[in-house]
Amino acid sequence: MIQLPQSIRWQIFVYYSALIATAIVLLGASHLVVISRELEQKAGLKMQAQLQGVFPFIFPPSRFNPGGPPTPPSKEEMDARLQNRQFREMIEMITSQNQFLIAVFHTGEIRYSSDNVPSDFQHPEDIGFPERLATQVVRSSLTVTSFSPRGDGVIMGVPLISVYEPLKGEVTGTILVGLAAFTVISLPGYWLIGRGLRPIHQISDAAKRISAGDLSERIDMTSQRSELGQLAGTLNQTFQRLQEALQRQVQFTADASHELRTPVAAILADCQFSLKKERPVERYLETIGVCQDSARHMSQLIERLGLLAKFDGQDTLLERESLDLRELAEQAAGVIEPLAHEQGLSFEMDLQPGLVLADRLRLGQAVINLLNNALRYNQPQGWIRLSTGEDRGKAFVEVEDSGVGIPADKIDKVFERFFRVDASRSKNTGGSGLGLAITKSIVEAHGGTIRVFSQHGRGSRFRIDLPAKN
Amino acid sequence: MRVLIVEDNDHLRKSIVDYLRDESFAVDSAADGEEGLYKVLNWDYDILLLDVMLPHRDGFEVLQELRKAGKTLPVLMLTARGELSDRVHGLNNGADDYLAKPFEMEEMVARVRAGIRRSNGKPAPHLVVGPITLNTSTRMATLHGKPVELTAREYALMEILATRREEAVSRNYLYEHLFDERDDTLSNMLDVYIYKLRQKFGREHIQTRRGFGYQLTA
Repeated sequence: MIQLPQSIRWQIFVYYSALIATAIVLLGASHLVVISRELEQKAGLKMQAQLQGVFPFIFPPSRFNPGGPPTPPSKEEMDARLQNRQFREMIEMITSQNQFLIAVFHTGEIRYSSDNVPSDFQHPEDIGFPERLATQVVRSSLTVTSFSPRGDGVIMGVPLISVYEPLKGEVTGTILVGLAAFTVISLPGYWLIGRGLRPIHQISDAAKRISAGDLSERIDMTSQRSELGQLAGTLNQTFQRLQEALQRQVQFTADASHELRTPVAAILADCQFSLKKERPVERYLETIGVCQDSARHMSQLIERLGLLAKFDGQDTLLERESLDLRELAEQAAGVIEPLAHEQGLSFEMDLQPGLVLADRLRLGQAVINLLNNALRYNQPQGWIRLSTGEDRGKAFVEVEDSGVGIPADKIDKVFERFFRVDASRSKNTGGSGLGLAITKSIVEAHGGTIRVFSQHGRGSRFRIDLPAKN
Repeated sequence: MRVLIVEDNDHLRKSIVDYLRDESFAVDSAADGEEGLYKVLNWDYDILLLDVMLPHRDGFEVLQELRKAGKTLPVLMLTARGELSDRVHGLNNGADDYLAKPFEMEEMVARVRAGIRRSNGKPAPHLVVGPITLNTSTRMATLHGKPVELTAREYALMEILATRREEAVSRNYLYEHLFDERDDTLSNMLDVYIYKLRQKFGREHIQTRRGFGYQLTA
């Protein structure tokens, strides 16, 4: 088996060329066959005409006695006549007993036997020669035969090679024309195949660039409706998803390393101070305290960041069940209400049913996050209001507080990771700057939206809208 | 040498203060941008260590404000973001050096010293005044090639004088750069140190210029 080149373009081209070559060869061959048939026919007709002249030549009328059988010419006489014959073809005359009278081979050899002439031999023309002619190819000769009803026969023949002589030029011409046709048809084929395969090259080029690291690269789709265009579209979507996933990873890594740097710096700084030389025991204890605090802070960060990374943009991890937001809110309120009363805040609820398909644990966490913020950023003697219900095909949870609110220029950023309205606040309230980002990612994983309405100094209202379950 | 450190993480700030005091720097600290800016505008520091992410005013804002006010002291930025964009941003705003968190304390101290040296126009770690040589990285002093034993404060005073050699350094300046906000100094503390240095290096090198201050001469 011949090893074909691996490129699809070459493979298609080779098969295509083979098909074309076969077609051209078949055409050429049939053309030559037709021509050779014509040549045979022509040669046959010519021999038939010559056959007419053969009899008077071999049996001149002078040798025939009127009313009786002819007298065959003597061998010497015959030899002399045949040496001067006008025709070049091979001739055989045989009797009905299958004995030859005359055999002239195309090599020039002549045999003649007057002994074989049958006693009742009649002049060939008398017994119907040269009638009942048949032209056929026998071995390597083209022959014309004629038999009398009695079975006497004459065979005239020429070697096929001489019949086909004019074919030589024709064969060369046919091969040349065939080669020209092959070139003209197959070479543009190579170009055409390349053109057809161009989208594949575009796809593979884009894939190469992407694998080289540029994930923002896309396949250029000029023919979107072709099969390859559809493939390119699908691949582009895949790349888009990959890029987004990678961006989330990069973001997560950057966030994590950024937030972890300061506590690590604190641990390193204090340990290096303590280890530099001997210190009082109290100073060592202080260092251990610094390590513990920083480690706690980091572990909390890691846990929350992990949660965020998990939920970002995907809902595959949700364990959805049919649940009533009223019930969910009641559970969350059970946790927060006592804390609110402890802080001297009033807690109001307006809970109407709102059916959704949601993850009880995660969505509960989202509601608790909002309530926690309301608790954290409230004012003395303030209030928190929690409401649920259904409105225009959406089920909603709303948490409103009488807290410090969010300045208008910062309201767009509250859902961003690590954003704090006032960075110094986190020290007193223990926030990591991730609560609202986590809440948002949980809500969005559910296919919902979260919005905030706030007036600086007068309080905030957070509203989660989820698709209602019918 | 007096240093101001502005950092909002309580633990980190305290560790840096302790470490620098251990290295005989006078150290003041601030926990947010507002306080930091107030201190740097009202006292004379040899170098400022400035965190980027700060409450109230971030490090870049503080940097911009203090440069606007004409303060030329060297500024070493402490940043949790090691990215290039931050560096470019800070250097364009007039920061002199960068340190990405977390960092080695020894490196921090080395950069603080280098920053101070550069700002005094003496980038080499050796300060030479006649027969007196100070090695600012090992904090050792020699007189005619022989080591001279100095306490941390004595060395610090000597270094200030050597940095501003052939110049009268006022008592006020010396107080500001030798003692930090923690020190509850008596006014004659400085006289005690000057007396001791004269004993160790010789009267002729540390001269009193009446009405101006003290001067280190070859």
